[in-house]
Amino acid sequence: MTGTASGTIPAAELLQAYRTMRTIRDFEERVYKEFQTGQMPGFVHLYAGEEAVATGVCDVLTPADYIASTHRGHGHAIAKGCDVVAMMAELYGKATGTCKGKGGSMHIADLSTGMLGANGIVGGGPPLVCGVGLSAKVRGTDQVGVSFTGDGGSNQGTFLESLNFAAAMNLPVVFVVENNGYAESTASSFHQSGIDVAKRADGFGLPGVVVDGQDYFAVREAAAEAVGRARAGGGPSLIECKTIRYFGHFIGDQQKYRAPNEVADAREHRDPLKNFRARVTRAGVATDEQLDAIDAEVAELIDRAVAQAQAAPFPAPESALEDVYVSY
Amino acid sequence: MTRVGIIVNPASGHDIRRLISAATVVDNSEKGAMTVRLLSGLGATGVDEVLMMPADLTVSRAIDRIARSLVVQGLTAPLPSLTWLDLPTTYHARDTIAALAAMVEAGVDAVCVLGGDGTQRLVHGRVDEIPVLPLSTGTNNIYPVWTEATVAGIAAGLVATGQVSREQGCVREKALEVTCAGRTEAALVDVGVISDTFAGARAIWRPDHIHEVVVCFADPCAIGLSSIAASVIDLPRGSDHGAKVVIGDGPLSRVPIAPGLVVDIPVAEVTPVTLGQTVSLLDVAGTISVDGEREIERYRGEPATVTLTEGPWRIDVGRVLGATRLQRAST
Repeated sequence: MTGTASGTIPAAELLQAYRTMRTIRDFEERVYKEFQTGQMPGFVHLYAGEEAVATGVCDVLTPADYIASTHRGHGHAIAKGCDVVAMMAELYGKATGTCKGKGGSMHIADLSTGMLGANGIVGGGPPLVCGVGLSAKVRGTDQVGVSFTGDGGSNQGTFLESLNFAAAMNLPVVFVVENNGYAESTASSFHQSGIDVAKRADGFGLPGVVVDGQDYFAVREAAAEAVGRARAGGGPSLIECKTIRYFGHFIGDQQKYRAPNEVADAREHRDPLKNFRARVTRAGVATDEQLDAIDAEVAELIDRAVAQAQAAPFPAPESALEDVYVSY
Repeated sequence: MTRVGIIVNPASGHDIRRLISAATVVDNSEKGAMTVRLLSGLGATGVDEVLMMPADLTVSRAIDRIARSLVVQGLTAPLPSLTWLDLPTTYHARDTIAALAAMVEAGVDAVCVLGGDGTQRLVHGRVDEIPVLPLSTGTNNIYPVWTEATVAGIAAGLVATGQVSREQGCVREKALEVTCAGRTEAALVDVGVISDTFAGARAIWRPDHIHEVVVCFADPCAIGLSSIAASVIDLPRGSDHGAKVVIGDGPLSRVPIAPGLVVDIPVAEVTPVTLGQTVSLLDVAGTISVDGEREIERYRGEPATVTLTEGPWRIDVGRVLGATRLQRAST
């Protein structure tokens, strides 16, 4: 968590990073399968393929920092430390879920880990972390707020207003843009004026950088600098991560807007987990056996999460109005 | 029919140096405006057609908008006709490589490249003997120059149309070809041995991670790794040799390693590298950088060599315009 240079990340942190990415991948692959059985209610947007972004960013945050997520929020929640068993139960709408089964995929929130919530509102996260930043500044803490937004969300007024507000107030905030090339089914070449969202930061007077979102080390290095800068009073910044989603916009999306070999090619050549494994084993900082052991432990965890979620009760009808209103 | 190719890298200028240092920002609208300035210079010297690599919308729309405005006002010489190459856009180095191949095949008389050192180095070995005008739009650039693009366009046009010969107006640059781990990459300024284990965000800014640097030239005005060499030797651009600098026990040099970052680096040893010579790099696990970016991940015991070779013909704006003045005076 402390090493900013990719050359100085302790081996234990690298193993944990792999575990996080593997957990996100297996969680999403399993949800894809289970959703199609019809037992999982609601609407699901999968994060598989983008693991290096959530992991690389959240690995440089402290438990006291906050993130605000998107409709594609499972990866962010796992990377920020939410309990995977409770998350799976939440997707099943069960009483043991992260939000007692009342939130579902798009509203998983866990304030105890600093996860302000997945968010059904596109571009909804950036204003929330401006609140985090303002709060930290007023209270004099060194907390940092990080929002995740897609390329589609970056066209929303909320995103642009937040860049302005954070820059004007010099807030300890980092705006992470996960540019997976599509706003739902519209390619970014159609919906963006200019291919790099990062360049928009220039207009508001904050630094914007572009990194390969499939590369954990590139994301982490940029995030470490941006978060460190925010914590030190250096104000907001924007990191655009060029990434790829392996599934459709939602489960059920026919993806006719994508080239036939696009995802297969990405899984073969630009996979963040394969990329990570190849590099850390070749560099001698981890072994295949260590990573295989993590794979097995994560597989067991996901099996257990599904089994416990399926066995758990639904929330009682009379609890419907609980946790809806807050007393001040 | 005189043709010139133009490459504008839409992705240059937004690497991590904006976070870790006070690096310059050049937006894509400005790159479009630079292209129009370049076009007006090329048109004024009689270039008929320009082949453009497809870039992103902010670049192409800026070109269209500004060029229309100039033509409507009738304030400039006719611009060359503009042809966008029919190539896929992937926003990757492969776009530049494909465009260079298409331009060479089309028989262009010169190529103009707008981008940082990372874009410029792709030119090496891909344009035969065609003169190249490198214009800076990136960060701590050394190879491409900051020059007013109208004037640079005039210079490129004079060379492309043969009004100034390549020998009169261009400089034969050098290049470094580094081979390691089954890969060969070219650099036009410097190759570095860096101890960051992973390429990560690619830029180099931690002085204690730099172990060795090989340079084509060492301009005292330059920023980045080559400034280490420039602090201890005189090796101007166009010299017939390069140099290898080992970092270690030795006197400290205070050098600008990145925009806004001036650091002390101990220099242990400097040796000349002659054209055609191949030298081995120190056996340090980590990464090998080319022109200031970590590029090749290298593991313990993997050999790495660098060969100093002849590089591209660079259109030297000052030399070209000086040559035309001399021609005028002699007629």
